[in-house]
Amino acid sequence: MTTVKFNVDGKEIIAQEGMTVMDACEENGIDIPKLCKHEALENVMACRLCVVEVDDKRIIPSCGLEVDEGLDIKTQTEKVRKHRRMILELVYRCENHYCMFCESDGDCELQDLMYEYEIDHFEFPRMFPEWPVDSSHDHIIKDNNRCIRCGRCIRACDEVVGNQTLSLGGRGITNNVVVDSGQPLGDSTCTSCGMCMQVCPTGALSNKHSMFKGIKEECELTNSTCLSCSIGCGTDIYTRTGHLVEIEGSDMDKESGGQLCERGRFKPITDRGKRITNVIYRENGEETELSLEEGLEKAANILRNSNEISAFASGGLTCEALDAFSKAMRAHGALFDIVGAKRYRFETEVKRRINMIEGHFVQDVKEIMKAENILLYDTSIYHTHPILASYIRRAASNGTTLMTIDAYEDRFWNHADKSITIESPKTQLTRLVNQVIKEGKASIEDLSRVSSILGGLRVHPRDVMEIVNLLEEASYDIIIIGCEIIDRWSLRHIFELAKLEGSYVISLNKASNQYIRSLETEGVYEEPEVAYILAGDEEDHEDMMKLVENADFSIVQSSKNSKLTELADLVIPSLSMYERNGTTIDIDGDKKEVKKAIEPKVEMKSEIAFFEELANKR
Amino acid sequence: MGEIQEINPITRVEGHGKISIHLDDDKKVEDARFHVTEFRAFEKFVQGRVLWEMPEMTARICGICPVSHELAAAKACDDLVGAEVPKSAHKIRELLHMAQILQSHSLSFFYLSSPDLIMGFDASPEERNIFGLLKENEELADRGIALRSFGQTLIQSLGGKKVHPELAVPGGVNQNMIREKGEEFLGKIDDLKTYLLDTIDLMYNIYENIEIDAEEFASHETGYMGLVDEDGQLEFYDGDLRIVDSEGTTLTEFDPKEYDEVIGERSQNWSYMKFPYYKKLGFEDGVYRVGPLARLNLIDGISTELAHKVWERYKEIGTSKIKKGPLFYHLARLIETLHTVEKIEELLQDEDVYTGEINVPTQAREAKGIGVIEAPRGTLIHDYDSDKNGIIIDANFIVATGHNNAAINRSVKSVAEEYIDGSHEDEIPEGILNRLESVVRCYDPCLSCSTHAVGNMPLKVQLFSKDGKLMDEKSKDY
Amino acid sequence: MGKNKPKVATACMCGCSGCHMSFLDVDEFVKDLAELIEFQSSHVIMDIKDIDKVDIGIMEGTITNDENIEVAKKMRENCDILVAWGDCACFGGIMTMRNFEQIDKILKECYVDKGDEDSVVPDDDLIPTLTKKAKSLDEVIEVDAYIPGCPPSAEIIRYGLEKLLEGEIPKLDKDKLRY
Repeated sequence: MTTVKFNVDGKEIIAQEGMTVMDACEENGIDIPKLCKHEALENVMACRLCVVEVDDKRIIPSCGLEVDEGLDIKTQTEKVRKHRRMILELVYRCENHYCMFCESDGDCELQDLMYEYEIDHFEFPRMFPEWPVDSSHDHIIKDNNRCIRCGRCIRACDEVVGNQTLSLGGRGITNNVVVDSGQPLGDSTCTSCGMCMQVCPTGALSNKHSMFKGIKEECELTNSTCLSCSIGCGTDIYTRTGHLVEIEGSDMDKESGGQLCERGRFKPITDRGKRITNVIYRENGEETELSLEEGLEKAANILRNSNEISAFASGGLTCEALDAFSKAMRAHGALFDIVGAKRYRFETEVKRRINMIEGHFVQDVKEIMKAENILLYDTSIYHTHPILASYIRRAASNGTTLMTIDAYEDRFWNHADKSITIESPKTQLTRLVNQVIKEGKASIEDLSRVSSILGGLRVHPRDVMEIVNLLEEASYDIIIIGCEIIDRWSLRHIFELAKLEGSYVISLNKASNQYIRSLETEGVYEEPEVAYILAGDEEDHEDMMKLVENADFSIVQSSKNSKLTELADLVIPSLSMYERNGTTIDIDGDKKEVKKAIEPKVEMKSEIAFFEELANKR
Repeated sequence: MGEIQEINPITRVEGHGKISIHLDDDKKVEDARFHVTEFRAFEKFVQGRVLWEMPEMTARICGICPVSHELAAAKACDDLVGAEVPKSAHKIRELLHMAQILQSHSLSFFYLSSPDLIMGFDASPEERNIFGLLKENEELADRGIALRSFGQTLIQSLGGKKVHPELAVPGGVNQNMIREKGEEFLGKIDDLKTYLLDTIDLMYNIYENIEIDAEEFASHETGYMGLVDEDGQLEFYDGDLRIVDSEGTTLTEFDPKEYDEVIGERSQNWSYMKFPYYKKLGFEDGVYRVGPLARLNLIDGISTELAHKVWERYKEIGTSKIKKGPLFYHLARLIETLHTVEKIEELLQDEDVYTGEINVPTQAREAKGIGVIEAPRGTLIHDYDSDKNGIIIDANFIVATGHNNAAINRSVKSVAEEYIDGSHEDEIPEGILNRLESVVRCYDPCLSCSTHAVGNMPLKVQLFSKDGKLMDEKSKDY
Repeated sequence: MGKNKPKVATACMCGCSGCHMSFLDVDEFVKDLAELIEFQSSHVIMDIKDIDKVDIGIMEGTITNDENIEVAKKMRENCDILVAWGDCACFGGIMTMRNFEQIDKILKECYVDKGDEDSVVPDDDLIPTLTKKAKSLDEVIEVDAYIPGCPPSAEIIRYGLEKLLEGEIPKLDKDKLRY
């Protein structure tokens, strides 16, 4: 890579060709003020704060100026400072900034710059335009009074989240950020990921639930990994005197843009579930509270005296917790399963049966953004793996052809080139696709002739041909299979399709921790003597409910009250996601660290120690 | 032709106010009135903003008692969203509140009113202030500084700032008290108790030696209103509202959220601040007072030991258990301050303020929310209407000084009538004017608070001829 | 400042008095100030009604009526150096939230619409008239020094006063400037 030499404030700088002056300066410890630039987003040169004096002649925004041999840059001349001061003042007094009661007071990039440029009064009169506050969204308050039109939110929603919900509307003094075509935020295409809020430099977009609970410098910061799904987003968890304040996505400089989804960002701080703090034992309609030690004894006794034990764990736990639980359960002779593991077992079985090699499976889900064509089975990943959904949308926005197949609706309707809604199992459709591929396109005519059969299956020949055509060229195609596809036959047909066409596959299951790929699990007794459920933060999972209903005796270990805990005979408190230390395996097979952000609010300080003791009491 | 003399502005009170004295041809007093001359319109500002901002916004109504507004707003918002504040948060809010009453009462007594009491009403205006007090009685001034400073520093340790702190949020508070800081504060409590007990003794002395009879000076009959706890004792943060008559008999006790059914408001055509009154007794007979004098009149006791003892002694002085003269406000204020110091000690020794849940998640809904609290100066009510998204669509504030409006006017008139007998030359002597101002100071009015509301500061000046005919009338509304 | 103690007057326009309260938060330093400064007038804590010729004038609060303008002009006339304390005086502050609606509309809404059929919006010489818009101090008079904050902390107020006593105009840098 060629380098370039130039001068900044009298100092010689060497930078890579193609770099911007701003980035080169920052690399060398020279601070340049900015408001519209953000590490996760494209540069747009909107705010003009980063202007520098070039060759003593012009002032040019440094975020758009490429480094060049022999340039003479000055970053703090009186001219440049005056320019920046005027911009800041014009920006501030254009809208309605009332720092004194704004929740971003002390945490605001605009304010920081106003302080740096020592603005202690206005040279120009204020304008007082009127902007109503939009509080229609469950989590985000949009206050146009505080918007400086940096465009970060618009770019974040477009470039990182791929959703394009935000844009600029109106002209002149009526120009401001609008939602869709002028909708309230709570009634729009917004995915509630909160990315816009995270990149907003002022208080224009704020978190309803964290307002006034603490600015960053008043909080402790823990860097951890989210356990809500298998993407395993990096999280920055802010706490104050041992309580959660706000959760932000970390790694904003990476391709994921530091995204989080609604479950990862907002659910933990809006959760109104009542925490379980004591062991509860129910017998003959009577309820007694036990100490943790007594609860442990009781559980051990019951396990020791039973034969058919089904142990079932949430997939949102650390590797260490899953290990300890499985060891304890096996010590008592239980059959052990984890949420999402069944699907993975089917997958493994099918792969073996049709001789499908690992090479067909995508090693890094960000590859989605490089695919030429995407065939998506089951659009519920919009809810189950929102970040993956964002990669799909980004791909579709950048030229990738997207085709979706779903039983009920296409949650990617805004981005898909073709949506197939088919109520019967996708297995029928895919089987026919495979057949056409093997027998040639002309064979579709024969299939059409047995249209009554097709009609009965509700598969349209046109849909079959679309899929065949989509995947036929030797291009980079990815087939994504969502969590709702749970039967072996569907998986078999889809894997076969991938094999036939040389496509890559991403196959999803509901476990957040992909440790299920290495930890041994099996199908459990459906009507056991004892069901031991380690629910963690999981709420009312269907399979867990069934087990508890059908078992003679059920033990549920959970962090909060739910229908599940109401049914259980023995309820044991569990740690919550933010009280755990450990590791998790993400969808790409990478190990990530989970760090404790708050001290456990229950008597149990270590779940692992609890299970070790339980194992010993066999 | 009669004339009007003005005392403008009233000094050593918070906010802008003036007194007009209406004299007849014999230079005798026909009327004397108390007017507020600023306009702040917070009830308008908050419309369109979200409920989560209310504590921070409404704190700006006042620089002396921002905490009262912050807590009343937080309580009103708790009500709006239907949140049950956790035990720890409740106690932490109470701790903040006690700290505020401590600092506000200390300001009122030591900085604003004591110069009159120590140096006399006729002392020169140049000397009649904290700087003069520092020269005359440095120890007393030092006590005042220490007491106020303690309160402000405690507020700062909880809310980050001394004035307009940030602690209460809808659903609770945003942090626990830090243990090390709590220990530090506890170390100073004993000194504060001593300062207050000494000052209370001094006050008894003053009552005996001052040339004004506290029982006579501007004394008049009114009811009294304030919060009480479940045992009928002094309560600043929660509880029910009690109204007693001028002899101390309870007229009613009610859930503060039902204030609208009990308290009415009337605008007189000659005054701008509305006059709250007890509906059942009607406008004239339903006048009541709030604040320290009122609270100590209507309670059955005080939950902390020292303050209770002092209160019992206070009830026994003079000819009546119920104190009607506004000059007693000063002693009542000191007794309340002693109680707050004891409460602070209690709370700082309570494990709950250092650990425990500090807030619950909140969700907006279309509702009305009412928060009532005893501010240093009296009962404070915040009443909000919110839409389903949490946007405030209407707000109503009834502040302490508003409740005392009628009483302040009557007191001012009473003092004017007593001291201005027509014998003065051209100008009413400065010392007499100061006495008029000093009766206003008894009530420790917070005029910035009281003029929060739009349209609530009419000012009317009337000129009457000696045969009672209205000669001229000028009025202004805000 | 000369050999004598500098004379200081403070005034509060339409404000919450928070800046004056923050000033009192200098606690014991107020005793030192009593030695270093001669306070001529400060209505919250002192009884002198009129403003005399002083060296330093300090003002908090927003301009919202003509009486405020009068006081501001008088202060400017009588002070050598004029200091603005707080966001209200420096920027206009929270009181400018009334500028979103025309003042006549606000008055009508609150007095006429909520009053009985004989109510009018009064307009008289004897009483301060409200200005059309709430304004910062420098929209009416020239200001020499700005100490923003809501309120500025006691430490910053003290810093400002100490600078003035040294004969300098205080200018807050990024470490001290807070809104």
